[in-house]
Amino acid sequence: MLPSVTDPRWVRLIEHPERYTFKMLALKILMQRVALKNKYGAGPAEKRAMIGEVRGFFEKNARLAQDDLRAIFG
Amino acid sequence: MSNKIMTLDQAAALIREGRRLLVAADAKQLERLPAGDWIGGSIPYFMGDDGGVIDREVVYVDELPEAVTAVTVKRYGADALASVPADAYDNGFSVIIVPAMTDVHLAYAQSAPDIPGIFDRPVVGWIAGVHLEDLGAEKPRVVSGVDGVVSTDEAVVLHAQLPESHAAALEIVNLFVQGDGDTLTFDETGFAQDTVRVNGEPRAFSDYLREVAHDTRLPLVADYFGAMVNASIQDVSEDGPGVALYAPVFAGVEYRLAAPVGDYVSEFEAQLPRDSVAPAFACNCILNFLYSELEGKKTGDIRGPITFGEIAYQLLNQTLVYLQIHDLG
Repeated sequence: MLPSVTDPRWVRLIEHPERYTFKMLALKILMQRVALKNKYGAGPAEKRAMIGEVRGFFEKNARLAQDDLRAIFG
Repeated sequence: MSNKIMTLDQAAALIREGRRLLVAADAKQLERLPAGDWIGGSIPYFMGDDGGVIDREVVYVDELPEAVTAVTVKRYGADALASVPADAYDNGFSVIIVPAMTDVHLAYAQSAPDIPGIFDRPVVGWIAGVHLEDLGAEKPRVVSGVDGVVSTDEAVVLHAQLPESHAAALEIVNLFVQGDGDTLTFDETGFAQDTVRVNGEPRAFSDYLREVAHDTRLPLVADYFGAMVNASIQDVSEDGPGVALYAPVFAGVEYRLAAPVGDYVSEFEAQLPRDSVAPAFACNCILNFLYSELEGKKTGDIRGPITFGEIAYQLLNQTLVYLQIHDLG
């Protein structure tokens, strides 16, 4: 079960992706886009959208993303 | 499963048997194949059983894995690319072939990472090209085998469905890593750049590359959380600031010039996947083929087209891309 979009760990992931090590190629590229948006000062609405996008990625790729999920959520 | 170079007649026979294929061949061969469940792109360069091959007569064929339960084929113009993820099956993958040097090539290269849902399932593919002797004279082509349409200005995509017991995963092998030189950034996304920011300071890009005596066979490399993403150098202006690239650099992303690679073949083999799942599809870059003189040389057991650009979600350069289908039981 994925944490809900209100779980603060999503915010930590979105705001500080550099603190994590990612395994899946898709996630590495996706998080690069997230980091770039942060660099240009993403606002609250944009951050919510990013959380939705990243959570949606994990929903669709949960079976192959177990290592990444463990690294992020323990 | 066929992942190999074959004759036109052999490929046609597979199509008539109802096999679902990804095909690479010189355009004249592609256009002679019968209608069926296949897509193709023009290119006469391949990695075959005996290594790198240049051949305008043969056909390279990847047969889709038996696990694939359904396929649909669609063509997309530059303004329709955003609907590629929405057209994909919930569980599966999409294979995209894009004709080089076209609006749809430019649009995909610059916009793919921002397409909603592009990372939700594997999008793998390549940029169709021509024999280098025909550059400027022939147009790269893609073919939608289901209706026989040959296009020079649209991308063709095969969406494949997998059962819940299987999952597709996409990976890359890139021998290039960032060197220890300056940090390079760009103010605008694009294939052509006049100005580079060197550690934040604007410089004429061509002057900078000459000043550091850069070997232009080595790409610019960005570090995407451990995934090295290249933009290869096409041309450095002799009398102006401009540098042309084979893939766009993205505004704000930090690049460095690549560190030199030793022996391509041995380093490549050292980085090949060691797991037991053979790639369902792979492609490698024509620049690796040329710069590393791969004609007649094998790079592990990897077979596939040698292309004008590789796609793993977004356009890549000088990179091996491969797709694996995992049986999760």
